[in-house]
Amino acid sequence: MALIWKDLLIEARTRELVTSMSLVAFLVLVILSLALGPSPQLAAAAAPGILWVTVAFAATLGLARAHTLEQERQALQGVLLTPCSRATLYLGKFGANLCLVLALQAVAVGAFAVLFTGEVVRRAAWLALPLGLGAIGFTAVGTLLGAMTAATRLREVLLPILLLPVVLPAIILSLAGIGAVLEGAAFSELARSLKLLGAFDIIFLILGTWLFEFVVEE
Amino acid sequence: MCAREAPAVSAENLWKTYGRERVLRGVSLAVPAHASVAILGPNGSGKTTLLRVLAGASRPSRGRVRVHGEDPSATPGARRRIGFVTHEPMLYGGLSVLENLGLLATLYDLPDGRARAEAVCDLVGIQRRSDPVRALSRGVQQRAALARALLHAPAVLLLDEPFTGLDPEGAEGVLRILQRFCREGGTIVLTTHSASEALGVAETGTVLAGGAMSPPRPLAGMHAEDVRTWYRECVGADR
Repeated sequence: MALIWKDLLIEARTRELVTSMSLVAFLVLVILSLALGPSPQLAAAAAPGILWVTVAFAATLGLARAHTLEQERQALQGVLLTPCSRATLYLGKFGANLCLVLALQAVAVGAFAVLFTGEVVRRAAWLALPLGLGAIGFTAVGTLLGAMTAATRLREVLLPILLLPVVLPAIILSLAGIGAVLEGAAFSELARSLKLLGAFDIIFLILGTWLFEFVVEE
Repeated sequence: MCAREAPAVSAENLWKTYGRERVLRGVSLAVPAHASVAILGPNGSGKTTLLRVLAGASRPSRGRVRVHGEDPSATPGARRRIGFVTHEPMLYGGLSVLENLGLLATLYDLPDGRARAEAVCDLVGIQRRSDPVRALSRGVQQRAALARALLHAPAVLLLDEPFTGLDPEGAEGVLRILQRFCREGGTIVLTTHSASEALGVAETGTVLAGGAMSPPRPLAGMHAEDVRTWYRECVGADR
């Protein structure tokens, strides 16, 4: 919890990540709303894709920056010198990143409701399931790859190139779940996506806790 | 001067390579408990790499490191015995010194982290302990780095040019802290370019040049010019 608190305290003071991620998300939504026009039917059909394009784009930028903060003044090195396990460090960073991605999703859903259709707000409680589980998988992979690319010169370019192909299954499953919620499909249809998303999340959280040591150490 | 006992830090035939570059070439070192050793060497000689390997922050390509009998890169508990200071403070710029030390105290599982953080800030003379680290001067950041290294009361201090960026007054303050640490039974391994810094802290000196280390030499009774002459001989011999 101390590791999550540390990141959230820094973010609460600077508001650097939330502001930049939210601004990018809002701009993407504005561009997409102009591209799709005023048709509510088109907006409803494209809603899952619009939400995830927005979140994936903005969250990737945020994750890259979140890990850059660890490199400044070699702060991560100071933490690595403690006896704390690398798995705990990964889970701490994952927890803080997840808070940011969930906050971003909340902003994106709110902005989507304003720019496209309020249907997403009316079904927000159900939408939280595929979006939230998708965010867990996205962040689990993003935290690992963000740490891997943070020390590289091309991190802003490298992170999306590595991250998006790996999280594609999670995004596809989350898209299916969001689609099922917005179409008012039976719960069993939603549950199928959620189960697979849950499995993806568990697999990548386990991989993350295991591999983080090799990523942050030489 | 510190009394000599069993080895606190030992390195046997350390090699460290990055790609084709051999940074350390069969370095061996044995530092007795309560002793202080200065490692002198030109830029790029491998001093920082050696200290990183000794601290467990980097694994050697070949060879063995022991700190009080344990491998710091493989045994998390061994890292409790080590305090490591480099050119960078290794602290989060967005947090204050106290917040940084509080976080690290939690990770070191110290029972009274806040009190310990205040105590080490007093020890190293940091007044602006509630200001964000990024707002502090280079000298205060270096003191904060020393506070971080001393937080968990380590038995061994590994110091990579700890006087860099300090004004004479700040350097004098750090020197006093290190001398006190040694008097209280701590072990110090220090890298430096400066003969006077080596003489101020260490009782033994060695020269690392081209990734290889010279035999250690007692510094007692030597003057700064003697150290410089010996250093030039070692570096020249390597070239």
